[in-house]
Amino acid sequence: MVAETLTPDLDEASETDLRPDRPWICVVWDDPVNLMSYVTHVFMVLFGYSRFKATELMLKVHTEGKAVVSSGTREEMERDVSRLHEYGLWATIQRDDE
Amino acid sequence: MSEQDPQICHTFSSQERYILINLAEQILELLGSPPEARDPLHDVVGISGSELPPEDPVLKRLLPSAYKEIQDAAEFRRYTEDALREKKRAHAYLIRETLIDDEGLGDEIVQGDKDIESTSIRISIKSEDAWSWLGGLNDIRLALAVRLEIGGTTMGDLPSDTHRNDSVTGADKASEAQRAIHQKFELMTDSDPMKAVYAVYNWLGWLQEEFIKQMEPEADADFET
Repeated sequence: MVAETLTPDLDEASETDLRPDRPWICVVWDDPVNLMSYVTHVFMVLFGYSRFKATELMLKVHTEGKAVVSSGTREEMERDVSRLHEYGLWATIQRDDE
Repeated sequence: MSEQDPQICHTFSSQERYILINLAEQILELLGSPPEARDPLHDVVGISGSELPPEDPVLKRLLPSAYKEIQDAAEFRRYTEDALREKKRAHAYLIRETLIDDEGLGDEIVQGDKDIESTSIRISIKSEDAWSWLGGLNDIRLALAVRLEIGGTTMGDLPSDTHRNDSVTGADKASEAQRAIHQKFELMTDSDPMKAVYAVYNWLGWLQEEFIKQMEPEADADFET
């Protein structure tokens, strides 16, 4: 159910990742505090997603408890997670195969 | 960002102003002072040295772990927690500064003595500051929610993978829990201090929605592209 899978940057990934063919993903978890409108806006502004896609992801977080919001190299996901944490969303990084 | 400044305008009553300044200061205090007193070598390489999640439940939610694996989470935290604290400090500081308005940039509405407790203020937030305001307000809401136990007592702890494997009941349970929380505070007597905290928490949620609405034109433009 990954909304969008980006091709990992193999050159960058191969330095730290023993399995560069497996991308990393950024997961946002549901919490009862963050407003739906706020979460949608964060997705739009941080990732440049359309309102439609951002709303879809927000609803997935709300109804399923979590959603994959981006994927790519480990470095890219760490950057995404840092920005999500800055705006108070509850996000983690993991391999795509977990 | 082509729209004209300011992006958000809002009038705070003297009481609202006082409460929000106070909450922003509490967040600043909780996040601690900047790491200038630390080993300068640490600053050069950007390592904070703290590897464990904070013990304070509010800080644990504001500075969550980025990985489920303890070792990965510890390493990431060691390299990034200082920067995250600094960003959150900057958001809270901006809210405080805007409302205190030392420079007199805001359009103050004087109702008596010109001190904060008796003066409402109309503020204008420039578009480049709008997201710092939203992020700062969100941090305050998260902090209040932890104290009010709105997310239960385990907020900040990652749920297991089997959490809400049935999506329909997951959503139902979530809104049921929200209703229960609302009812719990509605039934409290007015003298219960937690009821007042809950009122502030709700007000901040309303304020966030209000600010987002004022930023809407930008969102609509994004939708069309």
